[in-house]
Amino acid sequence: MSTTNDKTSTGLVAWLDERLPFSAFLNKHLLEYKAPKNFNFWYYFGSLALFVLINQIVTGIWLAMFYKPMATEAFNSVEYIMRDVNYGWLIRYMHSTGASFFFIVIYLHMTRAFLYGSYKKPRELVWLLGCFMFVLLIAEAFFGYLLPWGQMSFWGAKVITSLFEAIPYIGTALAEFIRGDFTVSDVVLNRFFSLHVAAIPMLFLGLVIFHLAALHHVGSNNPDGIETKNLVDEHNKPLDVVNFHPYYTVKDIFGFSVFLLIFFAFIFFQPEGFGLFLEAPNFLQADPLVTPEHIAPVWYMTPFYAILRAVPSKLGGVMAMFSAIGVLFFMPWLDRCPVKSIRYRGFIHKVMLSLFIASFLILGYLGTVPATPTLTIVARIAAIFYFSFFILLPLYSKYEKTKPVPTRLTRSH
Amino acid sequence: MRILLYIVLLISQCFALEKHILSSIDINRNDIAAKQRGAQVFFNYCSGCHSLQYVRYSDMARDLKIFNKQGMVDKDIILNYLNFVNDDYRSQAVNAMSTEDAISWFGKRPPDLSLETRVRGNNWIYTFLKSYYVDPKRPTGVNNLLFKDVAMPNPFSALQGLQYPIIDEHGNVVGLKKDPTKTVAELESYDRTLKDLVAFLDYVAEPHKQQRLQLGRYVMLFLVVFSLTAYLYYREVWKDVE
Repeated sequence: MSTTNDKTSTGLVAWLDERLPFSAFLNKHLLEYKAPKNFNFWYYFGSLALFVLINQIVTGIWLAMFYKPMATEAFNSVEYIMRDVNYGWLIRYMHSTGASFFFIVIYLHMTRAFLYGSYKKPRELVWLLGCFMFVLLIAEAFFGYLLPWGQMSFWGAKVITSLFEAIPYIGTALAEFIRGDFTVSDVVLNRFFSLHVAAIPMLFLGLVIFHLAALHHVGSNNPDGIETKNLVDEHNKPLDVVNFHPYYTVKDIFGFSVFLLIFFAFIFFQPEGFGLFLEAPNFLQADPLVTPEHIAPVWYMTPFYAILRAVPSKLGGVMAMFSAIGVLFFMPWLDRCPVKSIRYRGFIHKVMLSLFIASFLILGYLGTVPATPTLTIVARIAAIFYFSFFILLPLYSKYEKTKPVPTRLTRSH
Repeated sequence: MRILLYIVLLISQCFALEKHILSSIDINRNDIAAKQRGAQVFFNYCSGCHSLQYVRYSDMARDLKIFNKQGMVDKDIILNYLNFVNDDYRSQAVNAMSTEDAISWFGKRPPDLSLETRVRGNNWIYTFLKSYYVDPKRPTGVNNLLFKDVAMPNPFSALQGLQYPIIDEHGNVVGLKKDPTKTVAELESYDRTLKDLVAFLDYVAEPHKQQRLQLGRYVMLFLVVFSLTAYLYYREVWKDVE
């Protein structure tokens, strides 16, 4: 790889290459990374996730310049950003809308992995690192949502931190340790700010590097679920792959531009996201004495919140909620079918995966509305479908009637 | 997937609607004069009790084009007709009512209205101010169909007159009778006053909204052109991949 560039590099690049594997690194991870040529719609969301991450970091840096992490000043400082800081409203909306879009992109990115078996050998570690990042992303969003210090920020944080109190023996002490106080207060706001702007982003960036390094080590999966890494013709020329640059760089630029079109349509014309990105009660300053009528987390956490509410006991609910996320980590070992892509898998898996996705969407909706007896029953049924996907998967996947998998990629882009 | 998500988002919106049907109101955000009249209404009828703590008189005057002949923010108009609290034309629109007085008069401090339209929505405020009716059981003499047992008296009873409740056999208020002493023209004028006020409060809740909507159009236009170009370039580069 580096040999091709050693010949051509001159000047600064040559100087750098003598001291740092500059060209080699760039070639391995970007310019000459061999990617299967049949990436479809679902393959935009990996690079888009990185794109949104950069948006969150850059806008976050600017917000932190004007934001004050104090219970008495936080809400005011957000309004100061919205009104008095030049284009502060744009930066804030890019950050708040970006948070929701991060989850949209990540959920679609994960759906891709489910569809084409991207979690399977040899990509188990890529999947595991991704799952860790998903957990960190939820934590990051949760910490960040307290910062505007609105009513939903306050009461949402109160509900979620109190969940830890359900753990027997250590619960109360653990919840106090997490908050550093007996209730949600200035102390909590300060530490959540620190975690939101320093701790979690640093961990997250580290994991991004490992996620990409692991992916580039084993090579990308594709919609056919065939390994293309060692696919070569008689002259040892790689088959069915293209260089990432220019093929996927130009394709991703197109992806970015369509993404930006939707993203900025929301920012400029619907920044509250129909009350889902910025919830109306959050335009009221946090008031520990007034409980909002209906406390709901932001939409991207509602599937898990609905599972929490569906279980009658608090401890059971907390366990169900955490296992709904935790079970994702085991996907590579729960799925015992040798075929990766949904294209060649059995009918039963197609049905089960559809039911799983449907139950996730239904739970997501149910988490946004107040629980009624009927809706609780619906939530319980959906939660059972959610978990039964993971429970039944190891049982049927080994004996699944699959279609023959081709040896070469079937379709071009 | 994305479409599915939007369907879910849409359905959740339908369920989120309140039971009470709100009268809907359209705001022409380019109508500066309406917002100016709204400011006049606010500072004459509302600002005795309600603050706009995030609004500076001078910024508001600049945005609403309240200028003098030199094209500068008109201090005289601000200090004579809008700011009744102090003599600083750049101060924030915080009212002079002490919390102690507020609690003894109303039981709580009247809320700051800087962000009220973002909390409740324009339609809610418009409907709320049209839903007062005479109720001798209340200390203020009035109740509200949208906000039961509200502590706030009707500030516009002089403009709207007194509305009386229509009560069904179970004693529930099912509708409101308009004040017969008010003419149609007077009630229409009151309606316009409310629309001006809501237009002003809509501006106050997000002063950069108009700029946001205007800038948005150019950004969309650019991104459409950019996406098309990016698409053509992508097709061109991929032409040789079979």
